Amino acid sequence: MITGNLKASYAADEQVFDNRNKRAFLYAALLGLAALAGFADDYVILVACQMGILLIAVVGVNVVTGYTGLISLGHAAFVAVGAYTVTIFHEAFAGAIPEGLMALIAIPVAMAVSALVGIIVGLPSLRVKGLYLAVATLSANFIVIFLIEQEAFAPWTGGMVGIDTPAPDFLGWTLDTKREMFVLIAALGVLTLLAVQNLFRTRVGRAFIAIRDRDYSAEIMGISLLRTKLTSFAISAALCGLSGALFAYFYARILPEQFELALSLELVAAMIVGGMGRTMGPVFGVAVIVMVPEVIKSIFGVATGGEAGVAQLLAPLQEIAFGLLIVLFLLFEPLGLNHMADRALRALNRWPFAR
Amino acid sequence: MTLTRRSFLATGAAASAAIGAPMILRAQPSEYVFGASLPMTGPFATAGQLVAPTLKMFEDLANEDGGIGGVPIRTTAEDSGYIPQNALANYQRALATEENLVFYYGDSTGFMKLVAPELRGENARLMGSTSFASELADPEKNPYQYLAGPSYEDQFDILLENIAAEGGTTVAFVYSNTEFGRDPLERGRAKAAELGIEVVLEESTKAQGADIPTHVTKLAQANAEYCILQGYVTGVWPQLIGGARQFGLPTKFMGTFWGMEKLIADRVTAEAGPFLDGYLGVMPYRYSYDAEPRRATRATPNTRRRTSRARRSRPTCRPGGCNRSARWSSASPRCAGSTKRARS
Repeated sequence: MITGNLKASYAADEQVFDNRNKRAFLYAALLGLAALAGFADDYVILVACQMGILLIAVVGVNVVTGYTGLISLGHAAFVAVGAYTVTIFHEAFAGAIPEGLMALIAIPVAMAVSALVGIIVGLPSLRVKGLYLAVATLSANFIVIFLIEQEAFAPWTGGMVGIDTPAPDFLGWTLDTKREMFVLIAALGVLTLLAVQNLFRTRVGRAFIAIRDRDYSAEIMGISLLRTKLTSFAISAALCGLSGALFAYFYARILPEQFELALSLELVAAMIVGGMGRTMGPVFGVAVIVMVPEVIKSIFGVATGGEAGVAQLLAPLQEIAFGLLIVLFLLFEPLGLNHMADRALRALNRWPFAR
Repeated sequence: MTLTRRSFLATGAAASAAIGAPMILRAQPSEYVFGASLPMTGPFATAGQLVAPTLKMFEDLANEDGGIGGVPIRTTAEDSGYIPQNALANYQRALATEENLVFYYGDSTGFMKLVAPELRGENARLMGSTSFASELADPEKNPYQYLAGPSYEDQFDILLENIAAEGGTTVAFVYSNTEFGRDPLERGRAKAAELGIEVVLEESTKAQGADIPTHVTKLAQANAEYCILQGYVTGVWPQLIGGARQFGLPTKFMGTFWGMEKLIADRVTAEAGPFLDGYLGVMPYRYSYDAEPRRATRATPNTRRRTSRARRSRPTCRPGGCNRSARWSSASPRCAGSTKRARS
C-alpha cells in the first residue's frame, strides 16, 4: 500500500516518477516495447506502429485541447504538413545533404514548419472560443488539403494521386522494414509522452492549464494570452508534424485523402475516449481507437470463417459495434479510460482499506 | 558412439529428411486461400457490397473445376472502409493467420501503392485489385501486382477514338474528385488533342452526393457533344445523366469500367425509366447475359501492349482476372479493346 510520496529533498520533489509503482510501470512498459520489437509478428508490429504514429498526434491534440482548452478540429492538417514536408525535404535536398543525416534534419524541419502553420491556424483563437474556434480550425484542415491537391503544386506534393515517400536513414542505418520503424516510432512515442508530462511541470505548461480553467483570470494573473495560446498551438502542431513525419517514413506512399477531416475527428475521439488533459489519456484512447476495430474484425473473422458473403453483412455491424462502444464509454465514463485506470490503481493501492 | 563415415551419412540423411519434410508438406497444401479487402462500408460501399458475393461464386466455380491443380481454393474477405491503411492491416492479418494465402485482392490504388514495397521475399503474394490505375500496370516496378484488363488511360483512349470515329469534335470530362476520378485525365487531354477533339469542360464532382443541377448547368453551358464520366461506381453518374436528360441536353454520355455495372443500370432503369439509352462505355469482361461467341480482339496498339504483357506474365491459375471475371460468372476476359452498349 502506498499512502503518500516521501519527498525529503528537492531532487525527490522534481522526480517525474515519484514512487516505486510508477517506476515499475515505466520499466515494464519499456520491456514490453522491447519484447514487441523482438518477438511480435508483422501484423502486430504494423498495428503497434499505427498506434504509435497516432499516439504522437493525439498527444499533440491533447496539449491544445486537453490542457489549454482550445478546441481544434483541424489537426490532421498539421499531420499532413509534417508528412509532406519530410517528403519534399528529402526530394529537394537529395545530394546536397548526406543520406545518413537527412532524416535527422528533415524531422526537426517538419516539426518547425508544422509549428509555423500551427501558429497561423491558432491566430483566430485569440478572438474566438469554443465551437467557433472548432469551425475556424476545421477550415484549416480543408485549406491545407485543398492546397496539397492543387495541380500547381503537384510537382512537389504529387497532387491528388499522392507521392512516394523515402525510407529514413540514420547515419547509415536504413529503416526499411516495419520492425525497424517500430523501434524509431516507439522511442519517439515514449520521448513525446515524457516531454509533455514534463511540460506541465513548467511555467508555460501551468499557464496553459490556467487558460483552460478561466482565460481572463489567467490574463489578470499576468499570463499573456497571445503568446501562451500561440505557444500551445505551436507545440501541439509540432507534435502532429512529428507524427506526420513518421507517417511519411512508415508508409510507402502518402495520399491527401489520408489527412482529411476523418483523421482530425479520430484524433479528437481518441483524446476524449482516453481522457482529456491527462498524460496517459492518449495512450488509452489510441489503444481503443486503433485496436478495438482490429479486435472486432478478428473476432468476427474467427466466428464466421472470414467468408465474403457473411463479411458483407457484418461489415456495417462492426462499425455499429465500434460506435456503440464509444457511446457507452462516454455515457458511463465521460472522464475517459484514464479515469477508470486511476480508480482501479487507487483501489489496488489502498486494498483492503478502500475500493 | 564413434562417428564413422556410414553413421555420419545416415545421420545426415535422417536430419535432412526431418528438416525437409515440412517443406515437402508445404509444397502440397490442403487448400489455396484467396484473400480480399473490400470497401464494404465508406464512400464506395456499394462496390464492395457488389463484389463480395462474387468471391463465393468464384470459389464455387473454381472448386467445381477441381480447384487449382486438384487443390481446392477458399476465399476470405474483410472490410477496409476504402482506407488504404485499413486494407494494409487486413493484408498483414491475412498473412499472419492464413498459412496458404496465395493471392490477395486489394480495393484501391492507394492500398496497392502502400503494399507494393512489402511484397518481397516470404511476404510476396500475387495481387489484383479493383483499381485500373495506369501506374499499377508496370511489371518492372510491381511484379506481383496484376491489372487484368485495360487501364483507365487505355479505356479513355478507346472512348476518345470512338468519338473521333463517329465524327465528334467536342468532349467534356466529368470526374469524381478522387485519385480514381483523376487518373486518366492527363492522358485524356493529350489523346483528345491528338485526335483533334476539343475538351470543352473538365468538371470535378464529389464521389457521392454531388450537386447535380450545378454540374448539369455547367455541362449545358459547355455544350459538349460527348461527355466521359470517370471515378464513379453507383452514385452520381446515373443522376447526372438523368439531370442532363431532364434539362434536354443532347450530350452523349460515356463511361469506363466501374460505370458499366449492369446491376446499377438495371436498377436505375427500373426506378427512373429508360434515360440511360445510348450510354456507351468500356467493359473488358462479359456480362452474364452475353451468349455470343468470343470475338477477336480489336486492340489499339497500347492495349495490345498491355494485354500481351498480362498474358506473358499470367500464371496458370490466372489470379489477376479471376475475381473480376467471376462477377459475370464467366472466366474469360473479353476483348480488351471493344466498346459496348449496356443493355438497359
